[in-house]
Amino acid sequence: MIQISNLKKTFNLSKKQMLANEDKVKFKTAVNNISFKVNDNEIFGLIGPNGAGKTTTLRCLATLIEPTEGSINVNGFEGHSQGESVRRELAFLTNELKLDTHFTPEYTTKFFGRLHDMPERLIDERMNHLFDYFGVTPFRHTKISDLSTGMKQKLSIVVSLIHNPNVIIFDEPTTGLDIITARAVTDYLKLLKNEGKTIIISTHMMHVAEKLCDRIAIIMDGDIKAMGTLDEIYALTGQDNLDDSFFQLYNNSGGVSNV
Amino acid sequence: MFKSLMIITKKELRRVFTDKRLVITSFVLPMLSIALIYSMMGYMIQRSQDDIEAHVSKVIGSSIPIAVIDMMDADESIEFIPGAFDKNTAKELILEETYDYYIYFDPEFEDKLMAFESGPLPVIEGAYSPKSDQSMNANYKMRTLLEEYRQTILAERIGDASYLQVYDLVTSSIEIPQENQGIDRGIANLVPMLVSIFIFAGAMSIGIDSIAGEKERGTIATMLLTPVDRGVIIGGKVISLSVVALISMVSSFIGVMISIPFSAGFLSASGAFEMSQMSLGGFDFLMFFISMIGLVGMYVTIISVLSMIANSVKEAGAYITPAYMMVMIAGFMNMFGSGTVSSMSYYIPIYNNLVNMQQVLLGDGDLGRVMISFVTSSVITIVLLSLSRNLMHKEKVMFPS
Repeated sequence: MIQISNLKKTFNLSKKQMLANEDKVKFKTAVNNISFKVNDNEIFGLIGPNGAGKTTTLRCLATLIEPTEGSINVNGFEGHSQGESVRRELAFLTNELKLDTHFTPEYTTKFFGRLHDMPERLIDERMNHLFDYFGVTPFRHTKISDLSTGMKQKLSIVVSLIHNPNVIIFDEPTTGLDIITARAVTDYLKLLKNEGKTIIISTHMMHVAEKLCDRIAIIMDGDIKAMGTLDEIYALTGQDNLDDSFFQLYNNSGGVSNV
Repeated sequence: MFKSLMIITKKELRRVFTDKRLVITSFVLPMLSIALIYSMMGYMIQRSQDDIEAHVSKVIGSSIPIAVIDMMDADESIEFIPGAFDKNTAKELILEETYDYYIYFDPEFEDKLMAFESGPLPVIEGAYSPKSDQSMNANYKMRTLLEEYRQTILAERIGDASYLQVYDLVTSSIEIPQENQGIDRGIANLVPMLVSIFIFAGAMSIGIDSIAGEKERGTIATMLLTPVDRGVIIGGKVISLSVVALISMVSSFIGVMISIPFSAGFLSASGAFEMSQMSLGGFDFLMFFISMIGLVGMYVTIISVLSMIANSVKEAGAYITPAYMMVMIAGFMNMFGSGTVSSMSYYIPIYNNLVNMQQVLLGDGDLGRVMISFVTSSVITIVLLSLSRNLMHKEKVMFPS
């Protein structure tokens, strides 16, 4: 279970950034006082345009960066003060995180398993299972630099899940994947949900969110504009699909729609 | 924590040693290039010296006394070229390297020599070209010859050459006891600087890639998602980097050793050096190793801190270059130092370890001084390591965009 309460994150701006913004504000609020809860057995979707604060929220959740205000609780562990315990509980996958292309999938996966203090036998079991599921097995001894983009993405998913985490945070999990692999990933997320895991995904793909998420939060300019089940969001916006609901909220918030 | 430290260290070492290109560029090429460069330098310098020694100096002049001409004729390394040359023409010919030396005697030289009690002293002028090794060598030969000529004149004046002999000077080099014989002074001056530069250079290339490179590529961020403390991550990198730096230093040093048959002429003070001349015991090697470890710790942590601050490999290179210059300056200061070392020197980072290495090689190593330097280096290493750990926790450093 994830509980985020009044999360706020500000970044100090460099002189160059201040000049680019043409004002004298010395900081930028990326996330402004947001709260939400994600239960076990649930897939929660974060939807928003670029710069809305999705990645910052997820980074705070993964303890990569420290919130300016507010609290984060992951399965009973307090965000930054119990960072190591939080990181044991979760998997975080984002395009910004990369694997060393010099190594093979097998070595890389084992390396991260060991850093999670897993016994070798368990690492092998998990690795073989995930390799088989995501089709990495034939390439287990191939250097990562020689893998296709899609295979690299699948390997990143494997590495993030090697320690069998209870909380899964995927930032754009299907971006860059072919349709078959994308389906494999979304199916696996459903499987994990059925195992009782807590899952958050951030995506630009409305159809993925519609098919996958139990609840959704639409985030813009660091604020949550709408949150609930699909039906609740449709009711709030008066639309009958997520795409139109999103643009309805986007236009209402002062954004310019190009549809 | 220790287990995680070892896992990261092993991964970093695997990264280096399974990359053929990295192994070749970091360990094999430096060894081969140093061996080749030093051998070529030694060979060229030796050849140049041989050429100078074999060269017969061509001397021209005016109003030269017969006695001096006879002395030149008797010397096989000097050839006197008869002829009338005015000073300016002679100087031009020497600058053009047609001749090596010009000597001019006062036309009334012999008269003035005879009237030395009442008149002015006769003048001898010599001219050589400072841009020609042969000409400078000719100058040296002629000064020796003229000194011999002066002795002859004095003997004639006194009437008995034995009067000029006032004492017999007998000098000999003191035999140094076997236990602190050390090695050749020239090598002892040079080795600490080479070791220092090799360690820094070895750690620099791989350290930049291991830290700034991983930051730039986003691979270090993946490790930050594991339950491992960020200090352990940087600690693993520092340990592996230290191992790499030591191996790189040893490989470069092997390069120097391979070149010794050719480079001894310019590396050693005596002009000839053989491994068999080395007289260092196990305790000397231990003190040398402790001093070396002090340097490794500091260099690796300096590189780590600067690589952490940088946002890219390119930026890290720009930050580390001035540090490299400082390391070279410390090496040169030690190499060309007067030999007098104040007690405070053992507290000056980098320089202190270089001084200790030099003293160990000269057979004057002292464990107390080595330990003072080691503790000083260790304190700085720990401070820099702690700074690296703090930088790992800084958002602006780890996620600058």
